[in-house]
Amino acid sequence: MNIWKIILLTLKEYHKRRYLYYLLVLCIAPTIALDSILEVLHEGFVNAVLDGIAFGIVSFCAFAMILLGMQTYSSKIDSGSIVLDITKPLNRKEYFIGKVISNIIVSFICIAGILLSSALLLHIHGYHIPSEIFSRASGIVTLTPLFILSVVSLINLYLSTKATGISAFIIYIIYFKIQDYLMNIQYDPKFTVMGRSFSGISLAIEVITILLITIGTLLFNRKEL
Amino acid sequence: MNAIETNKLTKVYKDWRGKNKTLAVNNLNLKVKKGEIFGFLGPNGAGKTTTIKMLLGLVFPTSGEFTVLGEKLSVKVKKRIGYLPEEPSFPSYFNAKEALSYYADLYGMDKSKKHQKISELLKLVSLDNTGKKKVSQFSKGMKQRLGLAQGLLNDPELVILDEPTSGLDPKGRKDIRDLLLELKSRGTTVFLNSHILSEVERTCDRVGILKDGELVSIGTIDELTSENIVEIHAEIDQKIITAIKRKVNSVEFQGNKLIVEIDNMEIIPDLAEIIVKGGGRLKALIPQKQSLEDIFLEVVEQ
Repeated sequence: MNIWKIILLTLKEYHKRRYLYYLLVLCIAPTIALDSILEVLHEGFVNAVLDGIAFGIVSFCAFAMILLGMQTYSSKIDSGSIVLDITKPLNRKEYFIGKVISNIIVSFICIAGILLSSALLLHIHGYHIPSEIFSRASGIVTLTPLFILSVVSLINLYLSTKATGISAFIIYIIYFKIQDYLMNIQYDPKFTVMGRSFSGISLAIEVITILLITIGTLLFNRKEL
Repeated sequence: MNAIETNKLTKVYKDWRGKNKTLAVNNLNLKVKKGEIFGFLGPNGAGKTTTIKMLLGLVFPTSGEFTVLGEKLSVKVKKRIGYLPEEPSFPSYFNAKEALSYYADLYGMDKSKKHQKISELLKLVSLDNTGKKKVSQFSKGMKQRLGLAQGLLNDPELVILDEPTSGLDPKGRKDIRDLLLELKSRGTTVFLNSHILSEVERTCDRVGILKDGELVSIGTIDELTSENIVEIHAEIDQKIITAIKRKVNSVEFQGNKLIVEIDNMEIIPDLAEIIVKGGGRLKALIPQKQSLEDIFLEVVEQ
């Protein structure tokens, strides 16, 4: 199936461009920061710090998705190299979806790495996180980067590489503000940002994400290159 | 079966509001026979690249239809086409071998065949000694050669070349010419868009000239450059000139010679007879062949 071919080739490209190494280093950085913070903190401040760390993780992942997304189509359209790809025996829809899935795979690897190492560190330092909260947190942390990725995939088709990056960053800030407002976050010491309700709003964001990727696929299918 | 066939193919570009329309290709009816080298000519902005892009599915026709290798464009058909764009662009982080390997993977070639084909093509386009040099460090000519190599990876039945010799030195141009002739001998159809008319004249079997999106002339090189000009060196009077004028399309005086445009070569003996019977002294009658460049300029300046 061509989608798998595209995914494999895109991941190979990322490997060739050393993106995966940069992301790995960036993934380790918050974990090291968390370790240092946990060393010096007393329990009273832990929730607030975790809140900040979780925000950092979400922002980092979203930022990584903006950077990855910028490379997906617009840089190829800008340079003209997409023409040689598209004239090869593959379907445009498969090409688009293959690229999006590659980015989702990379984002999952990053997020899983950060979440697991953070959980492990908290455990080592004696902080217990209920599995329910951990799974909710994973959902929240995953959702934002995926939403941003779908936005970048769409605007990528019509804007230059730089304009895509700037627009995606602005959209991310607006998104975050709206999400904060709608979710009405309570700084409950037991339920920090990690315990945000995985509510209907999250579900709505999921639906919008899928919708944006679908629209992107359809638009790419009719895009003149 | 025709390798390419278009039926009233039309492309109108519009801006995002659907206004400011530009007619790039207008009711194009074109047939490219299988196994021939077809030269697609026209001034800048004539619609050549748009036509090529439509044939490859990069842009979509406003109306009309086309077939490539006897079928509507599909993934299956694309497997049998090779394409070299006007200015090929490759991911800058690849070297020549990696770039070809990437495109071979897109073609779905198996590993053993892929490596053998890549070595063969790199040698063919004289890039086999570039080693690990990145494509970003390649000259324009080297990129052009690499572009040609990627277009031949799949042993295509139809090769579409958009300005293949642009950026190449004379030796590189000759190599491409030889390659085109070799492709033809293998039965590959070549659709060649080039501005270098002398090359087109040397390599193409048939030529089509596009102007303002319309096909204004098509035929074999011989048909287009047929001998329809005759230079007459003779001592003649006004009566003979009038008689000649009745037989030919146009008459022009250039010093002491007469340049006449005729429909076909068969009337040359008649011209000689008019001069001799009219009492003139015929020194020479020289048929002149027009170059493709003359024809091209004549057609586009009309």
